[in-house]
Amino acid sequence: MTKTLKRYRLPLIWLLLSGGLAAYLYYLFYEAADKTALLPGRTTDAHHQIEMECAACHTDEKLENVFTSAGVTNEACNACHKEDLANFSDSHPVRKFKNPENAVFLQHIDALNCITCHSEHNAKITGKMAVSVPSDYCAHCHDVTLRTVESHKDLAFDTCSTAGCHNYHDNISLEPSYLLRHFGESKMLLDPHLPPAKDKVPCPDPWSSTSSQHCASCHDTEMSDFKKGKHGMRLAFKNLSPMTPDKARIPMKNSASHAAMDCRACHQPEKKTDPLFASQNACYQCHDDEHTRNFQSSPHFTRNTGVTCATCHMPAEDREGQLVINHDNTANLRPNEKMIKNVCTDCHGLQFAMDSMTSPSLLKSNFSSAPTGTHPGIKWAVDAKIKRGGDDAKRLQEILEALQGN
Amino acid sequence: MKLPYTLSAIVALSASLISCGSDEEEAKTGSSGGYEAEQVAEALYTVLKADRTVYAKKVVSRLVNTEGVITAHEEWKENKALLLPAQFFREGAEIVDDVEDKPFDFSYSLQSQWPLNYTNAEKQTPAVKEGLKAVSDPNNPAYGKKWVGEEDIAGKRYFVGIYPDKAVAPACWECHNDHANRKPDYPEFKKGDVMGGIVIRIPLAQK
Repeated sequence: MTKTLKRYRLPLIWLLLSGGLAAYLYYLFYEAADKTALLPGRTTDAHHQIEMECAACHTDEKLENVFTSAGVTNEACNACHKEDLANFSDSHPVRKFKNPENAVFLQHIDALNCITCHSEHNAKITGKMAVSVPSDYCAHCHDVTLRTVESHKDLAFDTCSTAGCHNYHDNISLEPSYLLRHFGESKMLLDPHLPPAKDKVPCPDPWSSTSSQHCASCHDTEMSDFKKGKHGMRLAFKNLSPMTPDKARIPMKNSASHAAMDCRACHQPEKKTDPLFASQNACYQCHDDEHTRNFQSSPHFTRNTGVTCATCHMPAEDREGQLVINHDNTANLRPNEKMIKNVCTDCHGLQFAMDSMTSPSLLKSNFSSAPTGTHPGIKWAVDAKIKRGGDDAKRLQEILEALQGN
Repeated sequence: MKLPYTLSAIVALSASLISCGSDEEEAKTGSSGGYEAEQVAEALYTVLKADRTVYAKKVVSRLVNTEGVITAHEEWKENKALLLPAQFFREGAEIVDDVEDKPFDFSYSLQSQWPLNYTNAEKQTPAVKEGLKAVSDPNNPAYGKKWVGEEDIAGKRYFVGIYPDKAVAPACWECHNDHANRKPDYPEFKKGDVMGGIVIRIPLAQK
């Protein structure tokens, strides 16, 4: 017996190891709730909350090359992002590149697939907005711009999408006609206005016993938006629990580590009568980053302007005549320059808003002081328009002279 | 009774599509059983030209130039304005590009020898450059008519037809003549001038 065992010792060890490995992999793939061991690399900040919901991105279809695509199709991306891409008139939709005449551009960068620029689990090469190609990617197709637009001749392509001017998808914020219309505005507008408050309709149910699902039966728009942002994205997947601050990648208070992010995290029954709770105080319960901690010493707070966290991060929006509080808390942060048009310019002049929103130190201090730099974007548009002449050039020239006289 | 021009064009196009759709392979090869690629392209051009004329004349020129009730602007969303005719055309072309279940594949675009969108001109193939020159040059037999040929793009063979795009309304030439991106050597367009070409491509079977 011992002799037999000795003879077959190596094959037995091999069998045991192989069997054990197979059982472990089966458990990981099909049984285990925690699939962290399967992650090939750190997930981006955009998706880390749902990284255990592998099937959200890795579909069974089109597994043509497991090493390059891993089954991640555009359809998987569209399941969450399609509506937003359509809403802000995506300036580089995939359909644009299906026309054979654009094949010349595809030789440089495969714009037909989302994962060309947004590959996941590649932390070393991933930058802002979960972009995993070098930040000068615009050069592949738009090199003619630097050769022909006078104001852009000395710029580098890695600044197009990083200086608050252009975005690959949401490119609507700072069009030249918008810049020209707001040229010469002072720091504070003559008619600063916060968005109107939404009419309050008494909720027929006691909040204390109401689930988020029940809230959504009346507040479906709010819930739909909530699930798109970092507060609520886990609720879009039935297998995932609500987000809790301990899972966040930005500083959070330890005391709130396990607070579940559902409707009642901010709309707490006992705070029903506190008008500021959901829009401001609720945020302090969890967030502990420099920007949040500096809010109460910023002019927005100390001067009783009425600006709260929600004013900027969950803005009131007019959607086809309906006033909606956008509960996607991340919408205005993709990228944060979107706030300039959506929020800042309700009260501030455009130049002041651009200077502030493109200053990293002011973002940290929560705009506790005035900006010191001057974003050149408006001036470039004005100079080009004046040089060209025409109807609006005279008005712009007069404003320019008045500003220079001051 | 003679059908109105646009309706006739739509009927012609529909007939072409139905015919080609009934025998996909033949349409792809351009063989005699169905319509030739050139015939299909011409039918498409008839509809595209008609719709483009209607938008330029009866929408943009009427509302902007004649009645002055709205503007047409390149940044149309920002300015709550009408799309420029070229943008209107391109938006439609992109929707067609996105249709997955077309009976056979085709694509179209608007190109010019005198482009205002320089990036748009970067992608002009040798065939397109030749065709645009032919339909835009008064001394060329193809001037104001059409230019057809074949070309290879990314390993695929295409029929390519280029048809003249003429200035039909003040909105066309006024905008182009006054545009910031207009280069000094661009012509001053007037009514009836060929300003560019509608490029139609239909994939052909590999030889």
